[in-house]
Amino acid sequence: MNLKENDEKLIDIRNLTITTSSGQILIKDITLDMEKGEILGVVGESSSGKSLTAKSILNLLPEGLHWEAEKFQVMGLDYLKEDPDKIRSFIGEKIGYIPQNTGNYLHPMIKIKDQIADGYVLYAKESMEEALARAAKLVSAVGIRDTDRLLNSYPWQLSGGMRQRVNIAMALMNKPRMIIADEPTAALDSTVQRQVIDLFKIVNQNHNTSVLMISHDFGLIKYYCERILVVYAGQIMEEADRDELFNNPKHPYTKALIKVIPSLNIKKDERLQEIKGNVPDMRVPVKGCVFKDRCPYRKEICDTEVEDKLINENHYYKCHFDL
Amino acid sequence: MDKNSSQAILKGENIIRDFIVERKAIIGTPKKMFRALDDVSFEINEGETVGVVGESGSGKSTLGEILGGLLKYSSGKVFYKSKEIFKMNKEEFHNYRKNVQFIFQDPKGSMNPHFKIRDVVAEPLITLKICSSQEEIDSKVVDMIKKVGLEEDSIDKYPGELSGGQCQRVAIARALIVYPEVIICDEAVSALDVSVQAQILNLLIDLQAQFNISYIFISHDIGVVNYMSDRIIVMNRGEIVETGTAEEVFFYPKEEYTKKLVESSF
Repeated sequence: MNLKENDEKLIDIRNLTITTSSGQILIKDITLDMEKGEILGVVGESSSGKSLTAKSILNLLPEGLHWEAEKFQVMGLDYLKEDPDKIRSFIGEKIGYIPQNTGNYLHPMIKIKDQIADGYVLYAKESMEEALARAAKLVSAVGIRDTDRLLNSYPWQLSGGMRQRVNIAMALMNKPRMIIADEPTAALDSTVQRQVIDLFKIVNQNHNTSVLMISHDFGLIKYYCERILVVYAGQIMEEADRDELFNNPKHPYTKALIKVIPSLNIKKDERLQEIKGNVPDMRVPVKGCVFKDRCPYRKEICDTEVEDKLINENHYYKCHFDL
Repeated sequence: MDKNSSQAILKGENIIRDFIVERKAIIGTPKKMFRALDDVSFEINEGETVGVVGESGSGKSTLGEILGGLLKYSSGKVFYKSKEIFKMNKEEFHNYRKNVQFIFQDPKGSMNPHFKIRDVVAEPLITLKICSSQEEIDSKVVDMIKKVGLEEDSIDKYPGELSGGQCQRVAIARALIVYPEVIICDEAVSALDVSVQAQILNLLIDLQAQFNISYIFISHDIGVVNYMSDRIIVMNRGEIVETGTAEEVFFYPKEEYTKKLVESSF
């Protein structure tokens, strides 16, 4: 392990590409940087590759997928060189993960209390009682009143929202240095959603825990994240600090995405702006810009390869035009 | 407020719905009941959109299903054009069924995966015995598929071959093919990508202008409901807590619960 060299960066990934065994490219050249204590948001639609990026950090890529990268370091640990067993225990100890499909990540035959305490007993080397006390505290922090009943239940006895909250509590058990939250609040009611998000903020402030938040909900990302990555069809379209991104969006996709979401500010007689067409099938390779088929500014040049354009050190986008 | 309350197409009066949570034995007397709807009254006029918001478990879907005749109520009354639905004769009930259609949240889940799109869209025509010949059915299906913005060749595909947005268009086509007066949209755009969501919302608005349809728009997304609705109903724990125009409810909420709901939306 080489902790000294890159100690200041939490995540340093260069040109991550994920391919299937038959050679289809699902994610192309994603570069991800994260500082300690930062809250980074990844926003994109379904099949844009945002979950896959997270899963590659967690070493949880589905079978048959293969990743390549120029550089892949997480908290100084080099995934390209390190022994897989070591990577696994490192992830278990340092990273809390809140999966998207919460039902599938809980064992149906094991009571919640045993699942939630397991990792803590293993890594923090604490007793089971200690672990359960901590679990009860966390579970009530995510808004569950009857903690005893919950801890003694099986996952199938709980609703989707409750299972999601169990996962959130579980991710926080080991006092992780980083949380990866993949659509953490998708199954929750808006009032609970707010509560959970605020809990993340508190954890972030009190323990300097970094949060990588993945969501399709631009409103949530805007409220919560300091820096935002906009991904589309497996590529980063734009990256900027929050205010910069919303005040000065450069990529046509980002511009459209901001306008397309009905918020309470919209005038009712105003027609919603729509993005024509559908999210592209990533299995079909596209030449040039991936957004060109839905882009209102499309010109011939869009069929050629696009380079990242830098506006300042925190803001870049992938488009031929300066709009 | 109400344009003319006697003109309501669909009207519910003091609806109560209890679900049995626990029984003594498998077919024994109920031990524990859950009241999903508690004394709810509702009405919708021609060409109007009524938004129903609330958290999960607030009874908004139950209300939709009862108004659409998919679920029986424990007490109360539902009227379609001032006739009580469970007291109708067969013909009248048929007419009610034709004129009140549904669009559900999960478009793929609401379609038979072994049916081609052609058959999915044609189903209401067949079950409601509206068309006499196969040619008539076919031409209506093709016509409707085009109206909702799908390619003509998609009628020979299966639901699994279409994207979520396309499937939702199929669901809209299926609801529209009988030219209903009311469509109950239960979280109709919640499962869609945001870039596709706007297309579907615009389509629903266009179709409303064209055919003068009334929508009951059930959603947890306050932004979407505000945009779509003339009138809003806020539900909590099976009761209506607040009603009013979209502006009254979302910008000047009176009830604590509504305030909480609006504040927590991003």
